[in-house]
Amino acid sequence: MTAEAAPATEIRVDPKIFGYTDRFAARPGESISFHVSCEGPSAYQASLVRLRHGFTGEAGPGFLETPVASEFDGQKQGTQYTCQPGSYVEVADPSSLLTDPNGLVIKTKVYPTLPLSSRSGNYGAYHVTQNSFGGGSDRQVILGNWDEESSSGYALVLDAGRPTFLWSEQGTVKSLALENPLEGHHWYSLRVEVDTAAGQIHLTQAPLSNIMNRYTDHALPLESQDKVADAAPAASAPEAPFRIGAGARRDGERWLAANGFNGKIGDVSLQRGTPTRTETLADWHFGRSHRDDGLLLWDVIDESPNQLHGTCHNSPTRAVAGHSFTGLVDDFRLVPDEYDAIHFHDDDITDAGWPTAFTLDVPSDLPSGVYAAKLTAEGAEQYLPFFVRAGEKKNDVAVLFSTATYLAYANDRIAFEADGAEIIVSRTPILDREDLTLQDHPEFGRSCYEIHNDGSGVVFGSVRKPILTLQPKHRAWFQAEGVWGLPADLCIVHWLETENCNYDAITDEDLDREGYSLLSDYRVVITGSHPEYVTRNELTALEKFTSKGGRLMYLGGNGFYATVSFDPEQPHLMELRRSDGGTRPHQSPYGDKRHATSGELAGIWRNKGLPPQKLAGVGFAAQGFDRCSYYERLEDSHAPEAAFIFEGIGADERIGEFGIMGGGAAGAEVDCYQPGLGSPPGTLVLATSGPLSDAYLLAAEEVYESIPGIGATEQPGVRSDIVYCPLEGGGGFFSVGSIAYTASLSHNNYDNNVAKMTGNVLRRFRQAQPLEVTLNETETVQVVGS
Amino acid sequence: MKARTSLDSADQSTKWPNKLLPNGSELMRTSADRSSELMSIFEQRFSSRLRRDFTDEVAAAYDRSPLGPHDDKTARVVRALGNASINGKEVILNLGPNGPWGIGRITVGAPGNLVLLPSTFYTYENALRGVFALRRQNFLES
Repeated sequence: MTAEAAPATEIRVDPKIFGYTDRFAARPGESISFHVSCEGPSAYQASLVRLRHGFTGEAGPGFLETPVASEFDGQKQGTQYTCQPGSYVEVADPSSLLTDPNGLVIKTKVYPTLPLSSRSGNYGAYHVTQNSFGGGSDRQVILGNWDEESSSGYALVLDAGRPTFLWSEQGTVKSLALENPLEGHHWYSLRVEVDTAAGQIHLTQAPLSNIMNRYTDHALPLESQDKVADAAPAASAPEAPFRIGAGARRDGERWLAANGFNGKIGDVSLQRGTPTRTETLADWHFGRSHRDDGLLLWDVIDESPNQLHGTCHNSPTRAVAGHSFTGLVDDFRLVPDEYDAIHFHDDDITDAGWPTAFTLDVPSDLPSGVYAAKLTAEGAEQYLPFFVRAGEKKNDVAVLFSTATYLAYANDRIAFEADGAEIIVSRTPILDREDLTLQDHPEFGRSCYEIHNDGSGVVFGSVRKPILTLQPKHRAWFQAEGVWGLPADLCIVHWLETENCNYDAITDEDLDREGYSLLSDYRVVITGSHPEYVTRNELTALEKFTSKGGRLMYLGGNGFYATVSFDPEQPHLMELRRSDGGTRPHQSPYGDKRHATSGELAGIWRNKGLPPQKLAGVGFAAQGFDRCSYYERLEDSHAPEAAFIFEGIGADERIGEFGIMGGGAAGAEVDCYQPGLGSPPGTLVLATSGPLSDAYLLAAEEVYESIPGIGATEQPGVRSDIVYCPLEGGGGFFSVGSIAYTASLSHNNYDNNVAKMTGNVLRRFRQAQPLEVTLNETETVQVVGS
Repeated sequence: MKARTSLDSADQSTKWPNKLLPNGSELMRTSADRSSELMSIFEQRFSSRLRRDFTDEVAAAYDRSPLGPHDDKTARVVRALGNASINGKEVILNLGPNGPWGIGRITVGAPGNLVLLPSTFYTYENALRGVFALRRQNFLES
């Protein structure tokens, strides 16, 4: 150890290339587009590579890629583009009905969640206390067509929390502001009347009673306020679009979000008064849907005769409780009037909106697998990974890449904001250079493990923005520089290469969309190392697959755990709300727990009748990130029907006492056999983890009341089990219940008992011969409590 | 040392009716004041316990095995230090694919929101020892 002597130094900022694809996967014949921004380089080289292995350390085969000739290979011009967060609704107004402020009557309800633009407190499971995104603006635009640069148009805003109306008068910015800022987490009614005939503007605020207000009316009596100003607004025609939830600022041809609102807005209407009558210009209902299924996607309905429908940008949170929410029904499809609200965030970002730099029409002869557009320039390198799906000719093995989980963890930066980051991993986090780059680019948005600037949880993941945690060489701060997500699943990819096993790549969104028909031709489906988030369609498809003779190799941990949904119209978008049960980094407020894109209630599948044990024999038991352990064989591993699994492995041999992640195959997040939660009666429990430390704590869903002593040395349920179960119909599953498992495959150049055992299973599972079922389930069922 | 910044996530802006002190001046108590008062009591007790626990033997136990397992007293001290406020906290930065490792301090506003301290370590365990030594030094000086 060396002593601290020299002064501290700043981190050097290198030139950067960033980018993203428009989708995760494409079939031969389909096109995938690439979107690139350069910080520094005026040009870059683009080439197509096949990704074979990610982890760069000496403990594995190193980073492996193979160049593939493609139509986009070559030098490209480097241009820097802005990635601007901030969600809003934009209203197309071709007849300029909303342009002129004269005679306008604006009515809306608002529920500010960060009225003063600075947050303090202690949020979520990790105790987030710091916002490394920096300070926000004191202005938050509720609605209007205000152009921040030219100061033209009009807008209803919060300025330092105070309701304020802005307008332009003879080239001068005018404003009318109420005296007091609004309270956070309280509903208010706001009204602006531009009485042109009287030459006055009236601005009124009235607090509203609501079950979701932070305080009761009698605990915090709030008073209405109003104010009047003389005014003669200019009837100018600003270029800026009319928006709800953010203002606009021009950036070339684009109008970016500006001064985004944090909180809910609902019940918005605009009228125009003349001396003779009042005409409704627009009357938006955020709880109504055009769709037969009632889902609230990105179209916003105007119920007025003018039909000035809007479109959401950057995925504000819909299906949230509005100002008239009674708390009696929590399904937005049943009580749309109670869900007339949208929750906007000034840091929402689900589409950077960069122009297409180049495209790839996937050739018919390009084998299915993991690829990337490799972008390089002096001092800069970036990979834009994607998956090529199978064409007409399929392999017998498919790898289901855990793209939903990749999106959930995308751009995770908890280590910089949460007091408890170190506690949850039981050691000081190890950061990667990419983590620092992320800190310099807050505009790339947060993971679904984090909170927004206003303290509410992030619930959307998207492909269409730079995701630095998706870089194939990325190391996870919470796993001792180990692999996580795509880099971890590349361990499977390279192991399959050593097994001379061609595979087809499929993604979570593919399986969600296509269901069982996508799997029906495969003999074996291999999961990623951490398929934590899945949709109902995926679970249904996988269960049907194993029941119809398919063989599932679940080579991960904490799998099939919690609910996500893919937007049926924009599958690059994934929704992940958090319920109030199970292990979770934060949770959605009551009334906001149902996914807008599917209607699914948020939460863990175990609490919705579909525990992972039913599908894979094991389910989430514990997590810990200090060290990993090995497996020791159990009695079932010596059963004749399991003999093929242990060919070449000694009877008392410890399995996986090595690996890239924590030095063992059993660890990080682990699953165990639980017949009480549906591990099938015919499941053979082949092996269980060696001793884990007390850094491994019993999963929250197993802790009904807080108790001491929930670490591995005191709780029998804190363990990882390897199970095998042949099912009626010839199918079955082999599950390892550990995220660290696949990071042990490459040890000693794949000459080890983890690779041997996994290879034995793969080879047997690829054979047509049905798996042998020896247990009569109806006679042997003896379920014990978990 | 400061373990946390507040007790809950309530906005700190809520104003309650003013009360008069005996001398006639106004006392503006807020929810933030109350949370802060409660936290300071906790921190006093927490810090007092930590000072009792943070012995040379504990420091030696950590140095022997930074990743544990630790006895209860050492584990409590390690958690206390690790649970400190994130601002200014030490983290480890990998400087290469197989090490070495450096120590950085989280500093919002610096490039990467991190300031790199000068030491370089050739094992991860030594980097952990380096972090612990810095925290102990800060603790003893606080």
